[in-house]
Amino acid sequence: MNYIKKLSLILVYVIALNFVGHNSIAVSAVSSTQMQESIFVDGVEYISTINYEGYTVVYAVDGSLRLYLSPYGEVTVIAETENGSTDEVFIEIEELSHEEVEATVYYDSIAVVEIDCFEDIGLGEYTGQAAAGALLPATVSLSTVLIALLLAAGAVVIAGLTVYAVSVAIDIVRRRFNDWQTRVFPASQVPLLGIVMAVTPVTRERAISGIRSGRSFYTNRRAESRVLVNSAGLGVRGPENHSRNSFGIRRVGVFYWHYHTGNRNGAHVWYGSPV
Amino acid sequence: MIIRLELEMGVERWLIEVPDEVALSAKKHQKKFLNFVYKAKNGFYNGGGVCFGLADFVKWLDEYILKKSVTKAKVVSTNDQKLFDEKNDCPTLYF
Repeated sequence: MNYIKKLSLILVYVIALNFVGHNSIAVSAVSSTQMQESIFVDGVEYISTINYEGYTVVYAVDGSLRLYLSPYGEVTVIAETENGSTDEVFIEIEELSHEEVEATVYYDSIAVVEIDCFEDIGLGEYTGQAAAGALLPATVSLSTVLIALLLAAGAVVIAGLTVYAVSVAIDIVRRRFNDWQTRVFPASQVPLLGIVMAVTPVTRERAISGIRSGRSFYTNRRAESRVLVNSAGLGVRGPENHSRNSFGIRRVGVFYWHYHTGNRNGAHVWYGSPV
Repeated sequence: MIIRLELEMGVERWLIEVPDEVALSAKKHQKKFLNFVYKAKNGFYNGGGVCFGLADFVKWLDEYILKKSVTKAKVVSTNDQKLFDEKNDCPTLYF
């Protein structure tokens, strides 16, 4: 099938990325230029972007393949078949980060592959473009493609929620919400990538309740951040950042100022730009 | 007895071994350490807030809490995720 060929082409790109290393993918993910990324594989151009609604979209310029990642961790791949019709693969992602992957691939509404560790992906088995066809319908290869493309687009899925490196997401939320400066977004720390956050804000009440139970958030302004932690009624400590180790040497990664609750229940409220 | 230390959601995850009486009052010692860190004269202020790591906590335990003790705090592992997860029944301090 034509889409298999196209996916195998993308796989070559993935292999190339692996030569550079996963860290490079993570670093590139925090760049705001990743809002629209061109990928050339054997003369076919693929564009990776995040649209107005917060969806990650990867598409071939010739229209033969299109991938959508919803803000809720659902991936749809639409590919053009040889007879000109389209074929659809649906992927439900529970967890996707540098450390963990948990996804189910559906074809015709039937779960065909479940992936719960990186070993399932078997990228090492790939030996070249010709062999890629033989691996398919190894949806495993397809998932490898997805992981690399999602990371390249600056998107990571944590507990079924798509989150973006803050520098990427800020651009999105700025366009979506006039009063984005006072919005509160669920956030998490990913090693090297820095703070990632959901593109969909939560209400203040939900954030306060989340802080009480140890969950973390991001807001643009320092004052907002402090008020939020204070509202949880557990005391407030900060601001802190951990960008330097005990010898004063800069750590690798991206760090933000944040407040903690007074009882240190594990919650963070990050704010502003990286230190 | 082992205690787990976690800095900013996994930036650092350490296991340290300390005398039982220190481990049992771990939360109290953490609070004392933070009071120490937040005093400007102790040199942790950096650009409007404080900046520290887990090594600072271990060093502080040795210098202040275990000053007269023969047994000092011992770092069992630094950022070994598997071992850290295995010890999930030990007290955890979040920094």
